Amino acid sequence: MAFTTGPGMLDAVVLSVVSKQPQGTYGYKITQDVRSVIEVSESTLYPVLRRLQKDGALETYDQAFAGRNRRYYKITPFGRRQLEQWLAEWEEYKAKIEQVFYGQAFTQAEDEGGREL
Amino acid sequence: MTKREFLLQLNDALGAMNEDERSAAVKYYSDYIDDAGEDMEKVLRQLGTPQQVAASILAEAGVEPNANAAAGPYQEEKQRPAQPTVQKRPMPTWAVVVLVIVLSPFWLTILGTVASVVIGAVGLFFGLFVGVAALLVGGLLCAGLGLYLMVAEPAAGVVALGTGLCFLGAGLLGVVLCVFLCSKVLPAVMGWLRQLWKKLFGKRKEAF
Repeated sequence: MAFTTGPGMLDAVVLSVVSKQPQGTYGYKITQDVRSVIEVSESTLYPVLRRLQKDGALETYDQAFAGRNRRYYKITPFGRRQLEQWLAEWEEYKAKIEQVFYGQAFTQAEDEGGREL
Repeated sequence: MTKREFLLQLNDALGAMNEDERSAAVKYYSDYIDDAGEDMEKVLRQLGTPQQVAASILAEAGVEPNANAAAGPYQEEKQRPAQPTVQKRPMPTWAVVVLVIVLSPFWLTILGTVASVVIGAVGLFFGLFVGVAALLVGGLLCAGLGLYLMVAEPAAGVVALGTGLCFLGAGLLGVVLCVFLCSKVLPAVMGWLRQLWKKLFGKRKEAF
């Protein structure tokens, strides 16, 4: 069964990938890194980066590389706080799912007389 | 397609965006294609058409694409459900009212004609039923009279009985016709009218 990645999850993954390079990283590399873990098409990433940038979680700067100016994306302090929040939500979510998958059976349902069904 | 062509088409397809946004997007893909290196064709194929790329950018930005941008099918994963392209705004209520008043000579005439046709049809039905009833009643009476006369004046009695039975027979055939009309023709007409009603007024409801 393939689990799909929703838009919120994708934002968190992209932000996390960028955060791993404190000095910043560039579009193509971000795309490769993200695609190594989840299946998204190449053109999906730019709108996500743009959105994160608009929300202030990422900032950009240009740097010379091989005779051209390459644009880099870097996480902001606000972005770090946002990422921490998302990671906390993820931990909660993950725990709940794992409780269902691997945990004890839920208590038996009871009818109105209080007897176990 | 060359890199330059791709970026030019992308720039065009993003016409609905403001200058800053557009140039940022084009720059991103210019960098991307440069960094992807090697096989230009492979890279461009993976990205999809410039129009598709533009469509996904515009969809996320919540911008309505202009006439130049053809929204093609989306690749694999959509990160946000695509917003519909240019939405048709329903006509404002006041405009509809004005239109109705201005066109009243036309639709009033049509309405009048339709009404008279309907009334005529109803009259026809009614007349049919009454006629059939008359045939039955008249036939019965005449036959009855004939039987009565049979005793005193046999000849007249036979004529009356015969005539009465003829009318009765015709009346019974008329009953069959009426039953047929009521069970088959009437429901069909009602169904047809209902569909017409839905077509005319169902759409109106959606528009508003």
